[in-house]
Amino acid sequence: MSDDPDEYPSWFPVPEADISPEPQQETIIDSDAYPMRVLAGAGTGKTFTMVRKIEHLIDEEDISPDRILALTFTNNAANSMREKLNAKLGTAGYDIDAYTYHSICNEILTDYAYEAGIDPDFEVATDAEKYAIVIDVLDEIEYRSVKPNVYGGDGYASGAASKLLNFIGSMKRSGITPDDIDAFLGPTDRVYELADLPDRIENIAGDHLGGRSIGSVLDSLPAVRSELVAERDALGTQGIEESARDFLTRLIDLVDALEAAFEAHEAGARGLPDNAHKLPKYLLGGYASGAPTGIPGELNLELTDHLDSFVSDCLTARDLTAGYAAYERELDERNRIDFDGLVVETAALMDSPVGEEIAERWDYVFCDEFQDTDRLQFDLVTSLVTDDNLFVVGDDDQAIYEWRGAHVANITDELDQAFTALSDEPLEENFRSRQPILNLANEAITKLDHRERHKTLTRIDEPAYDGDTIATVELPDDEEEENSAAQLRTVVQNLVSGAAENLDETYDPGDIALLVRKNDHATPVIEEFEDAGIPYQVAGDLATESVGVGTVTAYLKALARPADEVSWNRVLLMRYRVCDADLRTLNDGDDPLVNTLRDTPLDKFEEPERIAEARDHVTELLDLRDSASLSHLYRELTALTNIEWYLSEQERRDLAQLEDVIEQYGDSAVQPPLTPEFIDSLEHYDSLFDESGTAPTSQPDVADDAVNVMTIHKSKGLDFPVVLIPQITADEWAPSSRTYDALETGLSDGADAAFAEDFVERDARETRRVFHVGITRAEDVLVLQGGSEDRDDAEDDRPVSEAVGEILPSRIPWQPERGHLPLWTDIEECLPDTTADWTSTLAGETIGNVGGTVTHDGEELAVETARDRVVDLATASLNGDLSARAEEKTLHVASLTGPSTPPPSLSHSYTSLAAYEECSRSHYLDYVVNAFSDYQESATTTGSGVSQREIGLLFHDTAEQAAKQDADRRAEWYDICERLAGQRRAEDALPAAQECIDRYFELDLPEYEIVDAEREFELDIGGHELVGYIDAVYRRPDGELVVIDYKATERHRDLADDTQLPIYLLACRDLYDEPIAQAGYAYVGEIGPKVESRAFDEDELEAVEGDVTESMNSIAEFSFSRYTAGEHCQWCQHNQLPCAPDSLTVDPEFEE
Amino acid sequence: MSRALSPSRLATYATCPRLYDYRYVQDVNAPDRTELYLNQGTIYHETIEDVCDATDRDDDPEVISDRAMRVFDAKWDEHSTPEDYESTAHREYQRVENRAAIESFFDPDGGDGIEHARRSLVTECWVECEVDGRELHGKADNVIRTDDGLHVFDYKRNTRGALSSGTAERLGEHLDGEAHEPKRVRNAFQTATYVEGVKNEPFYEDGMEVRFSFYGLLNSTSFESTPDGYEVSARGYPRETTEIYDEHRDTIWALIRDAHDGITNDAFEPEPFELITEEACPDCDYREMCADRLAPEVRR
Repeated sequence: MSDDPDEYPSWFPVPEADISPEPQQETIIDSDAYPMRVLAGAGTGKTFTMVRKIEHLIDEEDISPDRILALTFTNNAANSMREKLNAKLGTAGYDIDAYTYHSICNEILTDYAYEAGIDPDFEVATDAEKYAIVIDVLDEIEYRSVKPNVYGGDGYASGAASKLLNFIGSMKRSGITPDDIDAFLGPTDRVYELADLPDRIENIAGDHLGGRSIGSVLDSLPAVRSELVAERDALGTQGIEESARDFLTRLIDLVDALEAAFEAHEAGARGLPDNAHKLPKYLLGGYASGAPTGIPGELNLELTDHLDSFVSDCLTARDLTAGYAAYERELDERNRIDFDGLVVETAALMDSPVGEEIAERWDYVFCDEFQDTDRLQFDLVTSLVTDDNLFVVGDDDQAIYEWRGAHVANITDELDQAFTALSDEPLEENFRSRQPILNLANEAITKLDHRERHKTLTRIDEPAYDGDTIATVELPDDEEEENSAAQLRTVVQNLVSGAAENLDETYDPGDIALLVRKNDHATPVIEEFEDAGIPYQVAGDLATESVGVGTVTAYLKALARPADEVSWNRVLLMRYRVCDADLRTLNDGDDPLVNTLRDTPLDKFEEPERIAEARDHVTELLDLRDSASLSHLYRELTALTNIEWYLSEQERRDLAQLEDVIEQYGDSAVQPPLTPEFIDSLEHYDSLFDESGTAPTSQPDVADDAVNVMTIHKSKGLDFPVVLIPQITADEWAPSSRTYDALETGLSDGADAAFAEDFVERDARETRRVFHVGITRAEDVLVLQGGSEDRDDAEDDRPVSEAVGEILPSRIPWQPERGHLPLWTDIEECLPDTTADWTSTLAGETIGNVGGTVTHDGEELAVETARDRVVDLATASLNGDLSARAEEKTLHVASLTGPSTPPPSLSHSYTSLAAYEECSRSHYLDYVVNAFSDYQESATTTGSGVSQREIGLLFHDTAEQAAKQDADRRAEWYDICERLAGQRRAEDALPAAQECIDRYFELDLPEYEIVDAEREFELDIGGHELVGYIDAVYRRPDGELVVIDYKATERHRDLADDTQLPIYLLACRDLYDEPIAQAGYAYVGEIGPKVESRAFDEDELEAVEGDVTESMNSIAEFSFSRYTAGEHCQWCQHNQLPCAPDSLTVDPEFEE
Repeated sequence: MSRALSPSRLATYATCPRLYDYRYVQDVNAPDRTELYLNQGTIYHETIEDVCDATDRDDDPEVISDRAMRVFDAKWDEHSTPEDYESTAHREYQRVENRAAIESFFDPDGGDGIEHARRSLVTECWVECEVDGRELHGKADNVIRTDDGLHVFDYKRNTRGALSSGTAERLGEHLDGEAHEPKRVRNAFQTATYVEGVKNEPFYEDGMEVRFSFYGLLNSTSFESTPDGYEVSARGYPRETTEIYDEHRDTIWALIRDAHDGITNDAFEPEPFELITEEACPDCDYREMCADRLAPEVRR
C-alpha cells in the first residue's frame, strides 16, 4: 500500500502535521457553517478534511472533544480516524466518540437498555448464530409456494434456510417488520387471487390484440382498455392491491399511448416500423412464447412479467413472513440482536422521549461515507443532530450499496429536505490518481443518467511520470477463460519485472490490485497467478482450496468429529508425513482410526517416530478440546504441531483468513469450545458470507507483499499504484434486478412506488458507479481488460426500439433494451488519447526474463524446468541413486546471484554487526540471505511468560509515541502503552512494560527536554551503508545534548568498549547542527532504574569508525562456511545446523 | 482365482481405482453424509418388494393400490427418522413426494406397478454369473414374467443421466480413456449382471427373452402452490437398456474385465489421472485425504 510509510508498521498512528490542507479543504475546515454537506470526489481527502475539521473545532473553537460524535462505516475507518485524532490531539483525541454506524447503536442500546426495553446484557448475534436460528425456525414457515427443502440439488444455497435468511436480510435492512409485511400482503387467499392477475392480463391481450394490421389492432384497443379498467377497479386500495392497481393504471396509460400513436399513424401523421401492430400484444405479454417475428427479443419489454415477478415475490413473502416473525422471537429469547436489529432498535429508541436526552450528549455530528447509509441510518443520524450541527461527507458517484438497502438520495434530496439551512462545499481536487485516470473517471461518469450533482476531479501536485497510465487489453476472441486470465498474468509479470519501456518504474506485487466485478472474474486469474508463482491475497476469502488451509481445517474437523477418518488421514499424510504402509496399518481393522493410532504398538509401524509424534499431539489436543475455547485450542494446535512451518508463504497468508473467522467465532465473553457446529458453519461460510462479505461495514486488510485480489465493492476507500479490472463486457457487467426489489420498495416508499422505477436501470446506474469506484482506486497505472460482443441484428432492431421508446408514456419506467449496458463501448468513447493498447504488448508477451533463468550443468533452464530438475534430483537423492556427477553441479540462479555472483547489496546495522562479531555464519543466514529459521520443536506449554522482546518493543514504542505527543506524565505513558498493547494484542506484556515505565519515571530523564525520538539514520562509512534508529536525544538542564538508548532487558553493557553508542554519535553528526558527545544507556528493566552515560571523544569515535569499516569490509566477503560456536548458539535461529554444540536448542524467548 | 463382485463395486473402481482402495480396501470412514435419500430408497424399494410379494396374478388393482399405500405408510414410519431432516416440514415434503410416486406407480387406472406386482416372479433376487472367468453378483429388485420371457427391473429415484441409446457410445470412450462416464458404466454393469444372472436362475427356461430396465419412480415431479398449502405429484417411467447391452456387449465386458482384474490385482493407481482429477475428484468423499490428488497440488 502506498500510503503506509515504510518505516512505520501499519498500526502506527502517523501524525499528519506536515501535510497542509489544500485551499478547498481549508475552506471546509475553517467554515463554521452548519449543517454542511461536502460532496467529495474519489481521492480528494474527504476523511482527512473531516478529521482536520474536528481538530479545528477542538483547537480553535474550544469545543470539548467529548461533545463530538464521528460516524463512519467500517471499523478500520473508525479506528484510523481515532488514531489520526489521537496522534494530532494527544489525549484529547481519545475523548472524541468515533464510531461506526452500528457500534454507536450498540453503545446507545447498552446505555439505554432499560428505556429501549431490552436486556442490558444483550449480545450481537453472529452470522453463525443467525444461521442456527434460521434452521430452528424452519417449521414456522407456512409452506405454500416455498419448497420445504432445506437443501436442494446444489446444496443449501437454494434451500428454504437460505431463502429465509435472504428475505430477513432484505426486509430488515429497510426497517420492514413482519407486521408491516402482514399488513401489506393481507390474507393468503387474496394474494393467491392476485397471483392470477398477470395471466388474466395476458389473456386480455391474447384475446383482443391478434389483429394483423395497425388498423385492426387499433379497433381492439378500447376493449382491452375497458377490461383492464375493470380489472383495476375490482382491486382494493391498500397494500399489495394498491400496488397492482397502480400497475394496471400504468398499463392503461400505455394502452392510451398506443392508441394515440396508432391513430396518428392511421391519420398519416406518423410513421411506424413494420410489425408495429404486434407491439400492443407483445407489451402486454399476449404472446405465449416471447417476442414474435419482427419484434426484437432484446427489446425485453413484456411488461406483465414485472407484475408476475412481484406477485410471485409476494407469494414467497406470504410464506416466509411467519418464519421472519419466529426468527425475531427467537433472537429475543436468546437475548441477541442482529446487526440490522441494532439500528432498528436504536432508531426506535431515538423516536421515544429519551431520544432527546441521548442526542444532547453531542453538540456536533460528523458523518463519513454518507451515500452508503440506508433509510434507518438516515433517521438515526438526523435524530442525533441537535441545533443543526451536522457535517456530512460522501460521494454520490461512489454509491455502490443501493442494492443492499443504501439510499443514495440520503446524501442529496433527503438531506435537502431535512435541513433547509444546508450549505454545500465541493471537494474536487484529487491527490491520488494521475490526471488521465481522472479524465476517464470524469468522462465515464457523465454517461450516468439521473446524476444529481456534477463533480470534475482534478489532480493536484501530480508527480512526474514517464510511462503508460491507462492501458487497455482486448479480450481474446475465443472466450477461453484461461487465455484472458493469461493476459493479466503477463501484465503482472511485466509490471513486476519492470523491464518494459512503457513503464515508469518496477512495481512490487503489493502495489498491484486486481479489482473484480464479481468473484468469478478472479478465479481463473488466481489460477494463473498460482502457476506463475505470483503472490496474491484474496480479501475475505477462506481459501478452502489452499492445501495448507485444508490441512489445518482437516485437523479441526478431525478433532471436532473424531469419527471423520478422512480428515485424520489428511492430517497424518500432510502434517506427519506418515507413509502409505503405516496409513494402511492405521486404516486396517474395524476400530476407529483414532483408537488405532493411540493403541497400536509402535513397532507395528515402519516409521514409528512419526506415529509417536502424531499420537502425542492428537492425545493432547483431544484432551484439550472440550475445555479450551476454540481460539485457545487453535493456538495450541498451531503451536504444538508447528503446522505453519509446513506451509508455503502463500498458504500462511491464506491461513490468516481462517484465523480471523476463528477469533470472531462466538460473541460471548467466553468463547465456546470447538464443536461440530463450528465446522458446519465453516462449510456454510461461502453461502453465508457471500453477501455480508461485501457489506459497506467490512473493509479488508491489505497485503503489502502480494497482489491484492478483491471485489470493487471491497476496494472502496483503498488505493493502489496499479489497478487491473478484468472482464469488462456488457454481459459480464449486465445489470439485473434482485428478488423483492418491487416488494421492498412498495413496503418502504408506499404501495404505489413498487412499479415507479425500473430496478434494472437502477442497477445499471449503480454498475457505472462501481466502475467509477474501480478506476479511481488507481494512482499510476490503470489496466482495463474488456471487449464488446457484436450484436448481429442490432441495425434491424433499431426502428422498433426507437418507436417503442417514443410511444411509451412517462408512467412506464421500463425502457427498450433495458439491461444492456454497453460498458466497454462507452469506455472506448471516453478513453483519453494517451491510452495505450497493451493487448499485443504487455499483455501478450513477457518482456525481459521474468523470473530469471537457472543454469545447471551448463544448460540454461527456464524457471519451471529448473524446478522440475530440483524435484527430480531430490527424488533421486531419496532413492539413493543420485550420481556423483549431478551432485557436483550447483544450480546457478542468475536472478539471485547475477552472472558474476556480485555480492547482494548489504545494509548494515549495529545488530547485524554484532551478529557478525559473534558468528559470521549466523550473520550470513540472518542478514545476507534471510534464511528461514529452523523448524522449532515448540514447548508443549506456551504459558511460560511473555518474551522480553515484546516488553522491550512495547516500552520503546510507548516512549516514542509519548515523545511525539509531548506526553510527559506517567498516566499518559500508561494510556499510550495500554492502547499499543491492545492494538497489537500484547496485553500479556503490558504489566511488565508498565513496570518499565515506572522505572523510567524514577530517572531524571522525564525532567529533561526531549529533542528527538526513534530517529532513523543512514550512515555512509567507507562506502558501506549503516542504518539504525536512535531511541532518544535529550537536552540536559545544563543545555548539553545526550543520546539515550533504552534497555528494557537484563543485560548490562560495559560503556568502556561499547560500539553501539559511538555509532549513534557518529550518526548524530549528520542529523543535528549541535555537536553531541554524550551518550548512554537508560536501564528500565529489572536491573534498572539507572542511566549510565559518558562522553566519547573524537578519537574514540574515529577508532570505532575504523573498526566498523573493517568489519563491514570483511562482511563483504561473507560466507556460509565460516562460523564460531559458543554461548551465543543457544539464541541462534539456526542452531540445528551441525555447527552448534549438541546440547543447545532454540530458545523461543531469545531476546534480541 | 476369481471372486464375485457387484456392479456397484466395479463401478466404484471405474470411477477411480483409488476411491475403491479407500472405500472398500482400507475402509476409511467418511464424514456422515445425509442419509435421507438412502432411507427414502429403502422405503420405496421395500414397499415395492412387499407389495409384489403379497400380490397374486389376479388381484384387483384397487386392492393392490390400497395395499401399496398401507405398506408405504408403515415403511415410512419404520425407516424415516426425523434426525435425517433439519425441519419437520422438509421431512413431510419428502414423505408427500415419495407417497405420490408410490401412489402413481400403483395407480389402479394404468399404473405400471399394478402389472409389476401381478407378474412378479421374485423380488430382491440374488443373481450370479460368470463370463471369461470373471464372476459377478447382484440383487435384482424385481423379476417379472412377460409373455415372451423375463423382465428385470431396477427401481431408482430417477433415471436422469442414466445410460440411454443416445449416450451408449460413451461406454467405448470410457474404455479408451477418452471420457469419464462412471454412472453409465455402472448402468451397463448392472444390465450385464442381471441379464446374464437371471439366466442362471431356476425360473429361466431356454429360449426365454430376457430384458432389463431401470425404473425412475420420481422421474417427473411437480409442485403446485395453493392457498392451503402445496400439492405434489410424481410420475415414473422406465428406461430399458437391453438393446444397448446387446449392441455394446464387447465394450461392456471389456470394461468389466478391466475393473475386475484391477480390483483382483490390487491395482489402485488412478488412471487416466487427468480425466479422473477433473471428473471424479470434485465430488469425492476422500478428496481431502487423497495423496494422488494432493501430490500435484503440493508440487505446484
